[in-house]
Amino acid sequence: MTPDQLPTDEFIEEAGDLLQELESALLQLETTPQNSQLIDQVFRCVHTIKGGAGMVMQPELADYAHQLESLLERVRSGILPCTVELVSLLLESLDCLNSFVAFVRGEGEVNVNLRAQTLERLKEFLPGNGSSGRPTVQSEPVDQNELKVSASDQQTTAFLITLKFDPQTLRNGGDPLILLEQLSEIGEIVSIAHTGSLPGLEEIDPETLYLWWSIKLVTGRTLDEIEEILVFYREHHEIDIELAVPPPAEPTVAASGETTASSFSLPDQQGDASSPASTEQLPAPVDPQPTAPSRTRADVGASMEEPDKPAAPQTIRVSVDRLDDLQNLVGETVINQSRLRRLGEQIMATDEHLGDLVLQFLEDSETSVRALQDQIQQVRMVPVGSVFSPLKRIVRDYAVKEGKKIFLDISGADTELDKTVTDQLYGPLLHLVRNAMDHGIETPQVRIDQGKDSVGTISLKASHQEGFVIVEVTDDGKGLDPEIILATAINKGLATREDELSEHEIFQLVFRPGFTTTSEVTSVSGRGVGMDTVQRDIQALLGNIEMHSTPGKGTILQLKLPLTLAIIEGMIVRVGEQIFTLPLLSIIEALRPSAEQVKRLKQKGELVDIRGEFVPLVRLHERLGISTPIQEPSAGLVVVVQHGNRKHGLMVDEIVDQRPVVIKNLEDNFIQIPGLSGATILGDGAISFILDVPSLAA
Amino acid sequence: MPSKTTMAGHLSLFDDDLEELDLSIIHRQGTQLITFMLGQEKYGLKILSVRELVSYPETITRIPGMPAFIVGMINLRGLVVPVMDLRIRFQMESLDYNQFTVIVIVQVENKLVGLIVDSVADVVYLEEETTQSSKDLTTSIDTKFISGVANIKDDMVILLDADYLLSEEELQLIPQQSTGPQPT
Repeated sequence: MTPDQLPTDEFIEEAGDLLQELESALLQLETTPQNSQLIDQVFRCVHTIKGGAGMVMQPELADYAHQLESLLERVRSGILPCTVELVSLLLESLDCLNSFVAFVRGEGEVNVNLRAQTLERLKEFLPGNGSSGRPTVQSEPVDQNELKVSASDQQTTAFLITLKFDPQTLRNGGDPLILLEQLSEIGEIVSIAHTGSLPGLEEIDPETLYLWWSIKLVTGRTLDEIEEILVFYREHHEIDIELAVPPPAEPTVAASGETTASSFSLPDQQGDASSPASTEQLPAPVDPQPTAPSRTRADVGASMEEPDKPAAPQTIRVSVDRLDDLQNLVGETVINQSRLRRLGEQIMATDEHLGDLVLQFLEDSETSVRALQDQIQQVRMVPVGSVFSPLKRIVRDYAVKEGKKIFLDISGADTELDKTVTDQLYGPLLHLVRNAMDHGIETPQVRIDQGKDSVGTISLKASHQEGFVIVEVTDDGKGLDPEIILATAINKGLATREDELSEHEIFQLVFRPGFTTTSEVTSVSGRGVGMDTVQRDIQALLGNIEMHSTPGKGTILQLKLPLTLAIIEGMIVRVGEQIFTLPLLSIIEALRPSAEQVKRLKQKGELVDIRGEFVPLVRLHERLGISTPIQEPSAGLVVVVQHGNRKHGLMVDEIVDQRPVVIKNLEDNFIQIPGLSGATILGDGAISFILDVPSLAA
Repeated sequence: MPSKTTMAGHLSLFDDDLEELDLSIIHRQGTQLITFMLGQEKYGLKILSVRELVSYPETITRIPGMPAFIVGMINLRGLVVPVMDLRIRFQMESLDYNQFTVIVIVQVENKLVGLIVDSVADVVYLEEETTQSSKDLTTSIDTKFISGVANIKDDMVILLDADYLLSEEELQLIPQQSTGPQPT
């Protein structure tokens, strides 16, 4: 295989998911180290990464994963206890795996130091240094059919191989015995021929292969070496190989009636339709010692193998581009529908009966098109939890490093948001959580002195509210004093005493560029990026952010985000003959001021007096160069918009409508046009530009 | 039956019908061009950069703050596509749009722009040897948009450089060429 044929992209994508799964499993395992399901999950992830690494020709990664896998194999079989130290090491190894994947992605270098360091510590857990001995051998039960493995041979491993040859093998000149002999040459084998599918003597076809085999192979060879033998058979036959699961140390009653080599469990057989004999003879799983850590055989057969088939819903990966295309097509259909409707109305005027039929039909098809549109929108939605979970690790690592005790409380992780929004939410959230950890949560001692719980809580909460998603980052740390904020802002020239700011307005000052309350730079936050960056990022997502804090009690940051970037709730306004769209999120109110309310100031241009508040007036028709008979605000309307903390009054002729609109980016296929943030297509197929509030207000 | 191979070496047919096939297409070398008229001159665009041809639509939405040659935006089946009048762009005298007016939708990478032309003429093959550089050429339009001139079927065809016309640098200059009021 040449490099460009390697499934690298698939690997990167899959590995990314696996590493995330691995991280979340490890973090859970840290609190419940005895959870065997989690251990299995961790094992499975590492195993799959190893396999993938082989596929994309990354021997170093494969080898590293293999080392981890060997360690985990011991943990899984109960030879090695799962301790917090072990999980800690695994978390560090995860970072190393991440650096490997980043390297494959072409975005960095493998963290060689970390690799060496973790491998070194890994060895401490492996036999030779400890007293755990030779697990493979040690764990072999005393069984009448068991092979006597040389006790001095530390490298032997037991594999389970399932051979299901194609029934036509014999007819095609193949001979299963050749493979069996080959396998017996590289180690000791125990093979069982399954005769379950043999027909009666009179029906038997001597050239059809009815048998299949389960083989236990104890060998010094590695899995890869055995794979090399098997690979020639894989294409036409069903061949499986996996590490043997060492049986419990003290097996209770033997379970299987059919097989003689009962000392290991055979995977995927109990439910296999081709071996009815074995299924029938299996006793129902009984666990005489439900709480005992050592499993009974029935337990092994029934539950140990099944986690390999996770009950996850079936999914397929689809590129976002395709979804975009689908969404465009549906949007187009919607537009065509409204054209059809106009046509239907014309028909109605000439032929009432026919027109009625057409409109009736249109009604029906509109319903399904709307449902289609909703469904496609749904497909783009991903749970916001996907950006919450990486933060668990960040918080954990920070708490360990800084000697703080922090509990990250996550709720509403299943709240769904458009994938584009979710993807871009991580950065701002990370920033807010870092701030909360660094500047919010106090050290345990300080907290105890203040009569608080020594464990600080940062909570991430997502919820739906009026068509928006609200994400709240709350901490119960020391909070911020509005007086200090105001003093700092005045100091930096961002506000004056005379502004008479409300407490709410004072807190919003922290989002102004150049505002930062602490001058100290720590490794976690305070890297010169302030809350203004966070606000900018959130506004880029067409959302907004607000803050509130109580000194001594904590801080709350509230993010209000649209469900999707592709669709916004728009206010449709008219200026002259052109129709524009304003994002509803930025609109505060609309009013028709009297002529007296409009004042002209020499330096500041025109202002509108709205209940004592002076808001700068922007005459849109002048700004956009459109001619309109409506020249004065008192004849038209002023739409008050907010951007950041500043308000502007945009003068329009009238408000036409309010509806959700699909945003079309202009920059993608043309250029960015000053004053416009995009375009949308209205129901009648006409184009309406979406006004860019920040640049109009500038 | 002996196999027959064309000069291009791609075809291998076992059929005497081959004699009757018109192989002129296979022998063609070079780039396909779409040609169109602007005034008295014939222009050519590489067909690979042309996405489609549409007639002048009922409605075209003017873009505020854009120079006159950016006529506006059209809705091309859900895509919002800016339209440029090549006559205005090339400072030729303008002409009322009529039933022959065509918008050539040109795509270069992800940029999509419609070009208004007087009428579409033909699809022709460009043979490299008939092409000459635009340096020593006098045409009514700015030579920076021209990649050369070709003589095709005794016609002079001015080769427009779509890649340049839709290049990032060139497009970014557009707002500054505005004559109308501009948002500041």
